[in-house]
Amino acid sequence: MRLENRVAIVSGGSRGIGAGIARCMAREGAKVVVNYFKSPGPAAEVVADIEVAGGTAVAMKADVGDYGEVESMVEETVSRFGKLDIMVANAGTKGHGKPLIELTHDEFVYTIRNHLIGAFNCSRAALPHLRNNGRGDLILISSRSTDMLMANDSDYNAAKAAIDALAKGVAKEERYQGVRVNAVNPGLVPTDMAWGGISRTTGKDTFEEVDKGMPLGRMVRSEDIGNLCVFLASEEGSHISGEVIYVRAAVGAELPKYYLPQGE
Amino acid sequence: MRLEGRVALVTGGSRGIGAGIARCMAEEGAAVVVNYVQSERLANEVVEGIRGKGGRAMAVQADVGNYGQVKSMVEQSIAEFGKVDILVNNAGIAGPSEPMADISPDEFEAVIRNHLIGSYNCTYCLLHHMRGLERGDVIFISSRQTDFFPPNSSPYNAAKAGMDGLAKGLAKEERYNGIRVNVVAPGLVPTDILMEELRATTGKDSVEEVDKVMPFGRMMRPEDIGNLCTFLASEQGSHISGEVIYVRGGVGGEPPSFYVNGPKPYYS
Repeated sequence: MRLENRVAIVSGGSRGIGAGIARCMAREGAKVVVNYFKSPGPAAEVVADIEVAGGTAVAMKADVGDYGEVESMVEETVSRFGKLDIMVANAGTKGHGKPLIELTHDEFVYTIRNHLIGAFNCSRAALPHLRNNGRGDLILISSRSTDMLMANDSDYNAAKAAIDALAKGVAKEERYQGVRVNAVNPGLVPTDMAWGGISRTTGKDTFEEVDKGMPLGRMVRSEDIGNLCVFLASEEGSHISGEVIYVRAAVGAELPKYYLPQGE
Repeated sequence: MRLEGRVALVTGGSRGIGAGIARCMAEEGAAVVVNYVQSERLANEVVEGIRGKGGRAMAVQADVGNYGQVKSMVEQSIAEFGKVDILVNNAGIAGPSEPMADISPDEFEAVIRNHLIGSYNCTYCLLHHMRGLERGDVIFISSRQTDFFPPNSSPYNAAKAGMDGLAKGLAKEERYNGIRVNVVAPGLVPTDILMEELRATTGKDSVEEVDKVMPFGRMMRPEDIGNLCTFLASEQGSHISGEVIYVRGGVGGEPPSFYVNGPKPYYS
């Protein structure tokens, strides 16, 4: 159990990648706060799964874009579990998928708020606690998009590139305080958020059909992201900080059409 | 045991970072070939250490810059352990610390031959073999230098950047063949070469003295590098390929003078 006696918050932990991270951390002994905003049902399922497997978890609602709500979540975590030593800022929303010239101010701000301001809020509220325990880990979930910066994705590109930069600078600020800060950048993971697009591009209806034609035999899964987060927060990853690490199965800065199996 | 049933070949495995990687992988169940050129005694010590803990290992001499010797090392490894499904390209030599204008073509070529041609030799020699296996892992040990390219280090800069480029392209070539290719780039690990440099640039004389002022309380150790290599080669790291990952303890593209004298106020 590589995260025994650690307490983690995973923002957006109710679904997709966040749920995978929450499960992986709990499996390694961490007590996990599964944060959600709009999905109490799925959050409760993740908590139930963890408890059935013998772990400890609790669901907490908070809009990461609202600093007050994030601060209350952190305080509630500390009062319930005594401390906080791992913060995974994972929550986010889809980009609007339009060229900048069509993107409204409100749409742009919406994406920036959910990803970037959310990551700031989670980091800012957690840091005083992360500094407290001899060791703290801050992991910001970014995206493969920061190495591609595709067209029609300005809001998402800007939010995620800024998250990478945030991680690298804060790592240097906190390196004498025992706090490790890294960005983990997932490739194509078939979550609720991404599957629609993958299915459309490939013309395939199931994960397994797409998996067959993928590099290394399958798409990246939430567990792959969770496994790296666990490694970074464990003793074995204790001297990795300030890095941006992609988990994208040998896909570089390439458009999905270069490696996704094509439709008939 | 995350590498049970695997066979790893670690070049330059007799000392420093390579020895740390060999030990970490053996601890997770891999049989390990410890390659060396000159340090037979140290290579045997690493092998004995692994065997003493119930692991499997053997030492094989080969100059990685010489393809004939690499080929014979690979044949010996496969004859002994049945396969090689993890290759760690770690062997290398220190480059001259001088401006390029003062480095001879022979000095330049020697560094390129050891790091870059050596990595190519070992990788090329094993690729077809690895394609026939269920899974293969090639890990290049590069350097923190590829993120800041200091002056007076041109052969080393070129060799290590060359390895990073080799790995990223190769990862794409082999991604449908079950072979993962990554680069692990260590930060300050207190090897003999590094301590000499730190003595010259900071006046600090012992590992402990430097450890005290480092982010997170110490320099990297060979085990930090070995732990990441093990993770990448394990099931947990199976979908990471084509990446360059630094293990440098919260240090970015900064020269050591920015952090080896301890924390500074934020405004300096």
